[in-house]
Formats: sequence, structure tokens, C-alpha cells
Amino acid sequence: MNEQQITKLIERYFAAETTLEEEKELRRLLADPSTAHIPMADEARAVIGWARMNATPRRRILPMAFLKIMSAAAMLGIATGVGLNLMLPADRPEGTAVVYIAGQEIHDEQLAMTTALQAFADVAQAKERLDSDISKIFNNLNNSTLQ
Amino acid sequence: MNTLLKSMLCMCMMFISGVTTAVYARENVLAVFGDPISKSRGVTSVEIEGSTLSAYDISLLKCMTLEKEATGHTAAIEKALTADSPAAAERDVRRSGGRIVYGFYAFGPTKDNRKFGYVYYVSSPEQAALIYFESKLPPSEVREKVLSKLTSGNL
Repeated sequence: MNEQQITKLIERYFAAETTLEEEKELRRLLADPSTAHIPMADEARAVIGWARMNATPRRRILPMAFLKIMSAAAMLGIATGVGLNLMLPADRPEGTAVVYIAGQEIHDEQLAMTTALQAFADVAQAKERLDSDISKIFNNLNNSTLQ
Repeated sequence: MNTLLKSMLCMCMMFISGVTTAVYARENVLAVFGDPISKSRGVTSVEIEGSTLSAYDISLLKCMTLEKEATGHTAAIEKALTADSPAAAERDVRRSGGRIVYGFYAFGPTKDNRKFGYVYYVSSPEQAALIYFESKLPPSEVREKVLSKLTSGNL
């Protein structure tokens, strides 16, 4: 196609008289560097480029690929979660009690329970003492405010 | 389609995040019980699980008492408590001179056994105690049903 025919085709394109086949051919011709010197070629390239960008939704390849990778990672995560659920025991084995005194292992249920209860008692006493201290502080504050 | 994919992705990420949080929420405190600290001089540690605890609605109980000579280990315990603290659903921490003197932490149920985790810690220059237990009961019921049986005091 010579320069005159190409110019004619561009003019028909701007007049919306071209067929889809002709538009395809025009795009091919405009992509060829040998048509760069044609006066209307640049304008046609700009219009066709703009039309193409707006005619079809912009497909952002990177986010889509990213989503696919993330979905695969998520599926892998779910599979791992399900695997863990299946592998880990739902309940602990029945009735074991071990006491370590300075590293020495003793299997004595009674001693283990007594030691544990003592720990709870220590915590309870400490909490009671702290609550009492806080009450005293507030009482002192109240008294000094009243005076 | 994209919206559906995004929704599914969000749900998956939330699920994974939930699993991760549940598994690791109390890992630092639990690690203390497996640490050499638990077998040091002046330390008595206990691990009870199963039927022994059924009367208390507890499935696992770990505790550690530190006598005066072992209270130097409290810094490591406090570090573990501080690390797990943000993951606790409930907490009551009291400090004196920058050190934790009393701490209560309630962790949400794990995905593997669907049990809540509870931590109590108390420390003084003379002694310290760290308790961890698991129960299916939520914090409100634990205070009422479990701790009342284990202590005469009010935790």
C-alpha cells in the first residue's frame, strides 16, 4: 500500500468509514517505521492508541499474577492448617503428672497436684496483697482529699 | 470475578492469620517451661495433663515456682510474658519498679484443641511463680468455676 492509499485509509478511519479488517490493516501499517513520514500517521497512531486503551478494560497483568500467587499461597496455608489440625492430637493423653525439682524428674501425681495448688495459693495471696495495697493507696488519697 | 477472587483471598488470609495467631499466641510463655530454667536449682516445675485435672475443668496445667536463689530467672520470664502479652484477649498486669509483680493473661482458644490458655505470674524478691493452664471455659467462667476450686483466694 502506497503513501496515498495509506493517507486515504487514515482519512476513512477518521470518518468512521473503515471496516474492522481495514482498521486492523491500518494498525499494522502504522506500526511499520516506514510509514513514519506520512503526515497523518502520527495523529492516527495517537487516536488509535487512545481508542484501544479505552475500548477494552485495562488489564493489569502484575496484580492478576500477584492475586494468583497469593491465592496459591492461601490454599497452601489452608492445606497446612488442615494438616496441622489432623496431625495434632485433639486432646492430651490421659493422666500424666511430672514434677521437676531442680531438674530431677519425679512421677508423682499427688506431689504434682500439691505443688501446683501451692503455686495457685501463692498467686492468690500475692494478688490479695496487691489489691489491699491499692485499696490503702486509694483510701489515703481519699482521706487527704477530704482533709 | 475479581471481587469474588479478592473476597476469597481476604478470607484465606484471615484464616491463615487466625491459625498463625492461635498457634503462636502463647509460644513464648510455653517455651519457658521447656527452657533450662525449669530444671535449674531452686526451681520446681510441674506438668499435669489428662484425667487428674478433669475435676477442675482443666486439660493441661504447667507451673513453675522459683525460690529466692532462682529469682534471677524472672527477667527471662518477664520477657516471654511481654512478648506474648499483645496476643492476650484479656490481661491484668501490675508492675513495681518496672518489674511485673503480678500478671494475668487470657489467650483465645487454639485451633488444634479449641482451648483457652491462661497465664498467671507473680514475683517478689523472695519467690516467683508462673502458671499456665488450658481450659475449654472462657475467662468469665474460669474465674467462677475453676479458680474457686483451686484457690481459697480470689484470682
